[in-house]
Amino acid sequence: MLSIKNLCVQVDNKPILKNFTLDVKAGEVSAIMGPNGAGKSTLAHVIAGKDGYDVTEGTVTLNDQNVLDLEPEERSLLGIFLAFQYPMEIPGVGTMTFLRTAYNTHRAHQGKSETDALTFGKLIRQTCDDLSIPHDLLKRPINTGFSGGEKKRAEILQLALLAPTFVVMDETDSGLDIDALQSVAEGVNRLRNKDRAFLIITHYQRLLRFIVPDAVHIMSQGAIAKSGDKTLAEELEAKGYAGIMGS
Amino acid sequence: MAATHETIEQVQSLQEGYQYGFSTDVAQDRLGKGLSEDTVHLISSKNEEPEWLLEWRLGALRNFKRMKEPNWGKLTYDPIDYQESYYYAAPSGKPKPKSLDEVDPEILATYEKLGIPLSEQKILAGVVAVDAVFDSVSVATTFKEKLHEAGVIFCPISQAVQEHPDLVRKYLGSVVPREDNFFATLNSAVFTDGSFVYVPPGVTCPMELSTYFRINAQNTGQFERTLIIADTQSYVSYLEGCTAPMRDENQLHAAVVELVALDEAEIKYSTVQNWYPGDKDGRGGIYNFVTKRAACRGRKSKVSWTQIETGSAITWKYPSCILQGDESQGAFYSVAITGNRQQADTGTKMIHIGKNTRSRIISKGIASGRSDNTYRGQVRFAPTALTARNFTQCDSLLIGDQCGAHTVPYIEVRNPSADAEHEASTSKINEDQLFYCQQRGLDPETAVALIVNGFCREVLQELPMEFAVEAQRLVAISLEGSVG
Amino acid sequence: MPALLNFSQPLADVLSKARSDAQRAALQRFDDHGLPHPRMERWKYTNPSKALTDQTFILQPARTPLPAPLAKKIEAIATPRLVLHNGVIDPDTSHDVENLLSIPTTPPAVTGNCFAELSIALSDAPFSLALHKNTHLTIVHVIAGDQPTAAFSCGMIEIAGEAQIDEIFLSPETPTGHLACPGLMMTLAPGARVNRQRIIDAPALAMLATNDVITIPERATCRSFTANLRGQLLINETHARLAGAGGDARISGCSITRAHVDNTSLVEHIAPSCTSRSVFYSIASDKGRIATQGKIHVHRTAQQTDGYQMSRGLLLSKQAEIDHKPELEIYADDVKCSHGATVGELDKDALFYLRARGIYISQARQMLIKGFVHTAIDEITDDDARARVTQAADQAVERLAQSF
Repeated sequence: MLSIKNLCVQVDNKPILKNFTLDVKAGEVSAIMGPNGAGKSTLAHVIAGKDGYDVTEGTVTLNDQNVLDLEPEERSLLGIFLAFQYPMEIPGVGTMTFLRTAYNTHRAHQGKSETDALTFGKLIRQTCDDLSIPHDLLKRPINTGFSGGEKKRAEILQLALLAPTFVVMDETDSGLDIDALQSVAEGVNRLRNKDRAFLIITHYQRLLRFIVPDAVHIMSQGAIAKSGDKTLAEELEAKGYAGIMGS
Repeated sequence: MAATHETIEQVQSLQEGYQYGFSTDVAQDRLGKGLSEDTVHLISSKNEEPEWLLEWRLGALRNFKRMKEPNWGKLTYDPIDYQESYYYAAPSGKPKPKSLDEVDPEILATYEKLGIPLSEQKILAGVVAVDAVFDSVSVATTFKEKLHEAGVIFCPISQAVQEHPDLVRKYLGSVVPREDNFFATLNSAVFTDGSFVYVPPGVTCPMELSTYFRINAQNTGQFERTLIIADTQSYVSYLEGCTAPMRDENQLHAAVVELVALDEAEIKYSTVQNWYPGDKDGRGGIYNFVTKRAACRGRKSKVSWTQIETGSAITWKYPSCILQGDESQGAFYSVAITGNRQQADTGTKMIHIGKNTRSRIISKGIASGRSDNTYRGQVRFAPTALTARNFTQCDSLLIGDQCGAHTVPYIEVRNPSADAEHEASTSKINEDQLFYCQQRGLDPETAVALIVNGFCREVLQELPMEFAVEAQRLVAISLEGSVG
Repeated sequence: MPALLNFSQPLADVLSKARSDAQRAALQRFDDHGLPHPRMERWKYTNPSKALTDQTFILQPARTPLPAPLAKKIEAIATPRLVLHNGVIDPDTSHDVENLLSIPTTPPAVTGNCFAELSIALSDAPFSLALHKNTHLTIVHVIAGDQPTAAFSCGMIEIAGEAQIDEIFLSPETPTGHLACPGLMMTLAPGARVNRQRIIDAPALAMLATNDVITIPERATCRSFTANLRGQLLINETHARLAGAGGDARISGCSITRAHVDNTSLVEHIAPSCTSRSVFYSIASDKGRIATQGKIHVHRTAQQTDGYQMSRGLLLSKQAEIDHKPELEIYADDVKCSHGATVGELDKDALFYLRARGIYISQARQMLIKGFVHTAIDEITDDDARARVTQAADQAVERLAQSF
C-alpha cells in the first residue's frame, strides 16, 4: 500500500531522513518508535506534504502513485490521513463547518453528491456516538480550548469521518492520561480493517499495548535501525533505546 | 487601593535628595551666551577644526533657524530661549590635558565624589575605560594604551577629528543626518565634544567603554556628539552615565549618538541617565532632548540599547535601530522612572528594511509624584522586510493618583510575511506581592524596591554586570517609600 | 438649485448663508483646522484630502426615486426604520418612527475630527430620536445621485431601557464618488443598554466619514460594532464617554478592504469602576490599507478602571498595509488597562491542517480569513444581529477571495 524508498530529507540544509525505506501493507499496523530527534515527525510531515522539508532523493508512493509532487489536499483526497501530534487550534472556524467542508470535498472527489447540513449533522452525531465523543466538541471552533484528550479524540473523529486508506498517527499518545489513551486506542481499533493501513509513530511502548502492531520499526538518526514484531516493542521497554541499539 | 499620602510624601522627600547635585568650583572658559555664526566659529576654532567641519556646522545653523521645535511629545514646558543659553564652557587653564596628571584636581575630585574615579588603578579593577566629559569638553580618557594595543580607537571626538579625519568624515551624520530634527540640527551646529569609538574588523573590545557626562557650569547647554563604529565581526559594549548640579534654572542637553554596525558586528549601548531632575515643585532640572540612532548596516549585525532613565526634568529620547542588513537585529530595553514633576517621553523606533530582521522592545515605565511617563515607539516593516519579526512589551506602573503613564505605539506593516506583536499593560503595584513581602517582615520601602526591581528585571539584566548592581540601587533610590 | 461643495476653497465664505450661528461657527472651525494632512497626528495614516479636492460635490441634492430592488430591500425591513436619503429623513420610506422622533432639546454637538464639524455645519435637518421603551430600530443611509453627491446628517438618540439599533448603508452603485458624513450623538440614561450594529457596505467609490459621540452614565452599557466592508475610503471615529460609575463601553469592529479604512476610537474613562473593551480586526488585500487608532484615556477620577483593547491585522498581499496605533493615557493608579496589537499573514500551520483534511487551498484560505473575522464578530452578543453581520462579512471575504 504505502511504500517509501531511499527517502532523503533536509531541513535548512541539515539531513534529517537518510535513505529511509519502509513498506506498509493494506490491513497492517506498523509502529515506528525512536528517541527524540530520530526524525519521526519529519517522516509524518513529509508523507502529508507539509512545507519546509526538502526532499533530495527517494519516493513515497501510495498504491503505486507517487505522492511527493502532490499538494497536501490532493494527498488527503487520495486517502492519506495524518493525525497530528499537535492539532491546530483555529479560533473563529466552526468545527461543523470544517468537518462538512472536508467531508464534502472528499465526496466530490469520489464523484458523489454533496451532503446537506441536516444529513451531515445526523451522520457526524452518529459517528461521535460510535466513538463515545461528546457532541459539544462540534459546537466549538476547531480544537479551540480543547483539552489534550479532546484534541486527540477529535482527530479520531475526523479519521472515522474521512475514512482514509492510509493513516499516519504522529505521537498520538503524547500528553494523554491513561483513560484518554484507552479511549483513543479503542477508536483506532474500531477503525482497523483489511483495506486500511496504519503507521503509528510513538516514543513510548504504552500505546502499543492497546493498539497491537503487526510490525515494529526502531528509527534512529533518520533511518530504520531495527525491525521486528510486537515483541520488539516489549524488548525496547525492558532495555531502553541504548540497550536495544547496543545489542 | 491607591498609595497613601504618607508614602507619597515619602517619595517626594526622597526625591529631594538628589545626591549628585553639588557643583564644582573650577575656573571657567566660556563663550558669550547666544547662538550665532560667531558662536559656531568660536567653537570650531577652539577645537582647531578643519574647514569642512566648520562649513558643516554653519550649514546646520542656517537650517536650524528655519526649523520649528517639535511639539508632538507629551511634554509641557515654557519655551526655551536659545539665545539665553551658553553653548560652550570648559574648565580653563592648560589647553588640553595630555594625561590624567594634567587634569585639574578639582575635577578629578568631582568624579571621585560621583563615584567615577578616573585614576586608572581604581577603575573597577581595570575592566572599564572611561571618557569623562565635563560641560563641553572631554577632560580625561583612561586606558588609552591598552585599547591601542587591541587597535580600538576610543577618544574625544574633537581629537578624532584631528587624528582620524577620514573615519569621522565618512560616518559623522551618516546615521543621524545633519538636519534630522530640530534638536539634532542644533547639536550639529554647536556640538563641542563627545566620544568616538572605532573597533576594527574582527576585534572584540577588551573592556567595557564608558563615557561619563557632567554638566557643571551654570546656564550652559551640553551638546555632545558620540560616534561609534563597529567594523566587520567586531564587538563593543559601551556605557554612558550622566549627572548635573542642582540649579534652579533649566539646562539644555541636546546630544546626538550615532552607531554603525557593519557585517556581523555587535554594539551594546547602555545608558544610566541621572541628570538633575529638578526639585519637587518642578524648578530647575535638565531638559534632555537626545537623538540616538543605530544603523545595523551589515548582514547579521546587532545593536542593543539599554537605558535606565531616572533623571532630567524633561526627557525626549528615542534610541532607534535602522535594520538595513539582512538578518540584523535590534533591541531596546528601557526602564524610565519619573517622580515629582518630571516628564519623560521616551521609546524607540525599529525600522525593518532587511530580510529576516528581528527586533525586541521591552519597556518598563514607573510614574510617581506628579510626573508623566510616556512610552512612544514605532515599529515599521518596509515592503522589503521579508519574514521580519518584532516583539514589543510595554508595562507601566503608577504609584500615587497624581501621576500619569502613557503608551503610544505606532505599528506599521507593509510586508505580509512580517510578524509584529505588541503587548502593553498599565497597573499599580501588585497589592498581593506587597502584602506577601510585608508579611515576611520587609518594610514597605524595601518591598516596593524589591517588586519594582523584579518588574524591571528583564531590562536590568541586559546591563553590563559591572553596572547592573549600581542600576538596581538607583531604581531603589528613585522609588524608596513610594507605596504603603 | 443645490449648492456646490468645493474643498479647494474656504467653505465659510461660500456656504454660511442661511445657516445657524452654531453651523457657521462649525464651518469656521473646519476652515481654521484646514484639510486633513499626514503631518497632523490624527491623520498620520489616512489622507482624505485628495479624494475631497479631486471633485466638486453637489450638496445634498433633492431626492430622486430609488431603483426598485433597493426600494424593495428597504420595504423588507420589518423593524421601525429611519431612512436618511442624502442626509435628510425620507418620510415616504421611513416607517413607524413618527412617535420616536422628538424635537431636539439642545443643538447637536458631535465633536471629533473635521468631518464632525461638517456634519454639524452642513446637515440641513438635524434629527432627534427618543428610544424610551425597549426598541429595535433600523437606520438606513441612502446616498444617491448621478453627480458626485455630498450628504451630511446629524442626529441625536436618547436611550432609556434597552435598545437595538441596526445601521445599514444601501445605495445604488454609481460611477462617481460620493461623500457622506453621518454624525450621531447617542446618550444613554442610567442603567440603559444599547446594542448597535453598523454594516458599512457603501458604493465602491464612496467616501464615508462617520462620527459618533456616545455618553454612558452609571450602570449603562453600550455595545457598538462596525463592519467596514465596502467603499473607497471609510473613516469611523468613535468617542465613548464613560461618565457614570459602573458604565461599560464595548466599541469593536472589523474591516475588510482592498481600499482604505480608518478606525479611530477614543474611550474616555471619566467615572470610577467602568469597564471598556475594544476589539478591532483588519484584513487588507491588494493595495488596501487599514489604520486602527484606539485610545483609552483614564482620567484621575476614574479609579478601578478596567480597560482592554485588541487590534489584529491580516495582510493578504504584498502591496497592502496595516497600521496600528493603540494608545493608553492613564492618570489614575488603581487601574487595569492593557492593549495588544498584531499584524501578520495567515497561519501556515493552520492552512496545512485544513489542507491535510482535503480542503483545497483557496477554500482553506477563505475559511481561515472568515474565521479570523468571526472572532471579532463574536463580540456581538445578540444572535440575530451577529448572524446578519457574519453574513455580510462573509460576502465581503468572498469578494476579496476573487483576487487570490
